[in-house]
Amino acid sequence: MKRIRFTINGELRECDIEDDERLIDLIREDLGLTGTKEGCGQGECGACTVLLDGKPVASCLTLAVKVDGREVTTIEGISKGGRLHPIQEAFIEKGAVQCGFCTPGMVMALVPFLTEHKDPTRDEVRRAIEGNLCRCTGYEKIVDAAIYASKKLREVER
Amino acid sequence: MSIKVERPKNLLELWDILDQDDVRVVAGGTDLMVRVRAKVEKPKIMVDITGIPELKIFESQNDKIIIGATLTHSELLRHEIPQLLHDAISTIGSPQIRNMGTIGGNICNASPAGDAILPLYVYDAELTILSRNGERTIPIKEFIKGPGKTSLEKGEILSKITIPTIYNDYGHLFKKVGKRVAMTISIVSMGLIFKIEDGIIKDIKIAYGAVAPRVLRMMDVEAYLIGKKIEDRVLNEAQKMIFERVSPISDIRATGDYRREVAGNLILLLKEAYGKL
Repeated sequence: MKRIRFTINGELRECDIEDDERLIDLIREDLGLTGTKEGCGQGECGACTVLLDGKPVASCLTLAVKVDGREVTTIEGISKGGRLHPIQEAFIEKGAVQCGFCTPGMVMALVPFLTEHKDPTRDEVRRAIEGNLCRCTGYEKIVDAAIYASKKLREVER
Repeated sequence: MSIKVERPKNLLELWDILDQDDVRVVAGGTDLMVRVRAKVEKPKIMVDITGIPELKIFESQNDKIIIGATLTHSELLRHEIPQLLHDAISTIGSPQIRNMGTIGGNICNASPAGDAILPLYVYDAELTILSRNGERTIPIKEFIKGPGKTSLEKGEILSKITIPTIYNDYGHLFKKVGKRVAMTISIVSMGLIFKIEDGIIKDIKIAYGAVAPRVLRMMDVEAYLIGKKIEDRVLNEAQKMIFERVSPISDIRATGDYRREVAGNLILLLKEAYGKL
C-alpha cells in the first residue's frame, strides 16, 4: 500500500492505493469517476485518456503512484458551473457521438490540443486524435465537432 | 500478488533497490505495463526511475547533444534534435503514448522495430551506462544484443544518449511502413542521412528496422553508394544489395517476403528526397 496526495479536477485528495494499481482503477473504482472508460487496456484505443499535468496520457498504462503530487483532470473536471465545456457542446451539436464510449477520451485528447491550436486544419485534428479509436462515427463528425469547437473557443476568448 | 513499486528520488536510493532480487526498471510503462498485465513479465519489484533528475537532462554542446534516458518522446520533440531523430520519434504511438514513453525505454526494449533506435544507429549514438561503481559508454550497435536483449548487467541502467550533431547539414529521410499511420508497429522502417553534391553521393548512412533481429546499418551499401552518381542504375544495384542483406521474419504484421521486397524498394526514395532539397 502507498499513500498518495494529488489534485483531481481541482480538488486535493489523499488516497491509499495498491503499489501496482493503475490510474484508471484509481479514478473509476476508488473515486467513482466512471466518465473515463477502459477500452483495450493496452494504450491502443485512447478511451481511457485523462490529463496528467495538462497532457493527455493513457490512464490504463499509468501507475497510480505516479500521480503523487501531480494534477489529474478527467472528463468530469472540464465543465464549469454546470455548463458543458465548448468541446462537449460541439460534439452534441455536430452529432459526433454515437455509442459514446470513445467520447470522453476524444474530448480529453482535444482539450489541450485546441488550447494550443486555435485554428487547426482537419489534418491537424486527425493527428491530435490519432491515438483515439472510434468504431461508430467514421471520425468525420468528430473532426467537424473539433473544428466547430475551435470556433466556439475563439469566440469565448473574445 | 501485487508487485511492489519503488520510486527513488535520487541515484543513491536507486542503487540500493537494484541490489534486490527480481527488480524491473520502468519509465513510461507503455510497453512494460502491457506485458505485466498480460503476465508475460512478473517482477517482484518495479522501480520507476522517472523521478531521478540526473536522468532528465538535455544538453546541447558544440558538436553533440546529450539526452537523459527518461525524457519522453514529447519532451524531446520540443527540443532542438537532429531531424532524422525528430521525424522518427514523431511516428511513435500517439500523443498519449509520446507523453508517457521515453527514449531510454524505447532503447532498452531493444525491439528490432524500435522507431527511436533506428536514427541512433544512423548517427552512431553512444550510450552511457551507469551503476553504483561508475559509468561506461558503449555504441548503440554494441548495446543491443537481439530482440529484447541488451548488454545491461544487474545494477546498471541506461542514463544518457550522446548524439553527434555534425550531420545537421545533411539531407535526411525517415520512412515507416505500417498498417496505419498512428499507433502502429513498423513492418519495415528505413532512415538515412546523406550529402549529395552535383548529383554525386559524397556521404550516406543508412539503417533499416524490423527486417532482422536488430536494427541493421547497411555499411556495404553505404560504401557502394559513396562516390556514385545518383541515378536509377545505381539505386537499383543498392536495392538488390539490401534485398540480399535483410533477414526478415514472417509474423502477424507481414510476411518475410513482403518485408524484403519493401526494404529493397525504400532505397529508391533517395532520388526523390534529394530532388526535394
